[in-house]
Amino acid sequence: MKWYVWFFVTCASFNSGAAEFEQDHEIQLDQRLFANKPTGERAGRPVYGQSSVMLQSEFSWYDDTKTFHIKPFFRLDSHDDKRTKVDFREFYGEFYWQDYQLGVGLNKVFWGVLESRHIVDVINQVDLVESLDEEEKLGQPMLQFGSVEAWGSINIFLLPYFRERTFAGESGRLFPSGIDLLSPQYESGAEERHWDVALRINHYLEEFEYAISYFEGTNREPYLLNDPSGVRPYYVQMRQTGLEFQKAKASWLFKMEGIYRDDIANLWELGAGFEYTQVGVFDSIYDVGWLAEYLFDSQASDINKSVLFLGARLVFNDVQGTEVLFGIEQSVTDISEMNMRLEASGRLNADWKWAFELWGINADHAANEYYLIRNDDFMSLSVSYFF
Amino acid sequence: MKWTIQLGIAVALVAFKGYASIDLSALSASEAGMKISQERKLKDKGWGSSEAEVEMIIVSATGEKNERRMKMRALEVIGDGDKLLTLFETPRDVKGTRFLSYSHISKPDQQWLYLPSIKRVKRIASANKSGPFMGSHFAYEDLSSFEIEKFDFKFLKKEPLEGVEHFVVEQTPKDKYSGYQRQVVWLNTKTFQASKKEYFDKAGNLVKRLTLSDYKLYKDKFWRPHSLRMEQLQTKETTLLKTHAMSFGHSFSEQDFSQASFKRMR
Repeated sequence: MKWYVWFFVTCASFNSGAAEFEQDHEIQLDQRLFANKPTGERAGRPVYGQSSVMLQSEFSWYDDTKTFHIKPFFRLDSHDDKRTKVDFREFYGEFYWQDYQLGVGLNKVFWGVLESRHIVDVINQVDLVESLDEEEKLGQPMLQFGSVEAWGSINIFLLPYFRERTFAGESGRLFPSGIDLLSPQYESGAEERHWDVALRINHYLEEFEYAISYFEGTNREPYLLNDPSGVRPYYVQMRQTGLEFQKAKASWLFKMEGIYRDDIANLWELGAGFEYTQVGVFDSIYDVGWLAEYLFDSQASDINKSVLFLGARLVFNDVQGTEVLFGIEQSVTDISEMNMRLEASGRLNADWKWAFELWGINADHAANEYYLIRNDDFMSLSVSYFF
Repeated sequence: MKWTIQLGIAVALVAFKGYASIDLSALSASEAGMKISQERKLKDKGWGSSEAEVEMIIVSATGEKNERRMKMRALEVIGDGDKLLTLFETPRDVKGTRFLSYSHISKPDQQWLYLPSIKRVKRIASANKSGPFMGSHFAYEDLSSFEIEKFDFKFLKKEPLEGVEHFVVEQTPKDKYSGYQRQVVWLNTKTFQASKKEYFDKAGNLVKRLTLSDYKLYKDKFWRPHSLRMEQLQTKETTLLKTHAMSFGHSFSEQDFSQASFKRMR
């Protein structure tokens, strides 16, 4: 049965008379400013400025035993036709009984403990058009069953449909010009209709938290094959086992996550680090969280194989909820190869919010995975209205 | 005149009942402080579970107001600290964010945050308790449940507050991550509920004053204040915490307060 048939069964079972209904909307104006001209000229690409407007709504119905969510997303971009799009971030129903939960529809799932990278997180495809930090994701069609047991909680996923990774368009920035992105190729004959399965068990014992996960199906991360007419994303089948571990001790959070992945090659990826929080620093009400994470990827080029992330999060604890996060990701093997980012946000009043983002990329070697976007250092300022 | 006499009688009655329920004679200041606090805890035992609609109004020194609405659910844990779940409704940009905390009597508290936009459950360092809650003048620890094991006590005196006799008890937090050197609490001698609380920072300065009022009785036994007013004495800023609707006797289970399911709270 198709996933959307399941979905309409869910909807039909909803007795709307007894349910509560809520709707929320956000409209956002976003302006990007680039520090440099794009690499390679192409007519229509933004040289310095790129603007967009985004509308995201959330409709939810719920009662004690079920909820139903629709979260449409729409963005209109001044230049990039790939950034102009409509999507459903969420479109799902969830049922609860005793300590069990059943979900059906398009949803998002987050796994992992690290801040700089999400190594074990595998269910959803990332939306690279929206953000480089891999925290923006496309809704994933799924049938999910969850159970809370004394020994931990278990979640089982059936994923009947695959969604391709999104990249910025040739008429935009943050994608190399002069490269044509071709239609994808799949290892599986079922292509995007391959049924993937996943499982995660997580538990916590006082200050320890741990999780083990397994995924079998289409790798969300494509291999990019060079083809005479361009670059072709190639999606292979994979088996991936993931581990997460976290310990909270006084002002410290110690974190570790890693995967072993078996597809057309074998690879392992590991990240470990800590977050140290200073509450009320310098006799103020500010909190500072110091972040350090070491990342290792066995399959990456020498430059990206071994990376150190250092960051600081400044929380103002004011009524506006002002926060600043600054981080540097530094190649351990080549000191000149690094990128930095700064994210800041806060409220203007109860209904308005601002956000600022700055990305600096220093990639001199072609082997650096950021090399193709080396001239795309940018800052963006957005203002959102919630209603 | 008549009113004054009636009030006088009422105060006398309250004071009498206060004496009747607890005998502090022949006790040292710390023993008396402990005895009063134990009675305070005992009088509130057995409330089970509660849910409240809460409005928080943060008022700046210039009178500018910032409002937050939230729903708070609490579960009594016999033999340990309580579990508290907070669902934020406004401001709109944080709507749907949930905060879960387990208060413990003999080990560090546990805290998690659920961020709905990325569907992430995030652990918060256990020492992070002295920081402001949602930009207000309440620290996280000001909102956690009262547990005997978390303090050393000292009975200071008995004095009337707005005509009602109160025990004045000093409580010194044992946790080194507390933001306070000590707190002084005024407990109604009849109900053992707090009417006023003063907070002293690590340097010993009086920094905040909490006034608790609009008490309502639930299940004929449990008193709950519906108005909390926290004053920051240096900056002259205040935060009002008003409870609009409160109910007891919910069929919440431990699992509803688990890290796996708290994101479902409605």
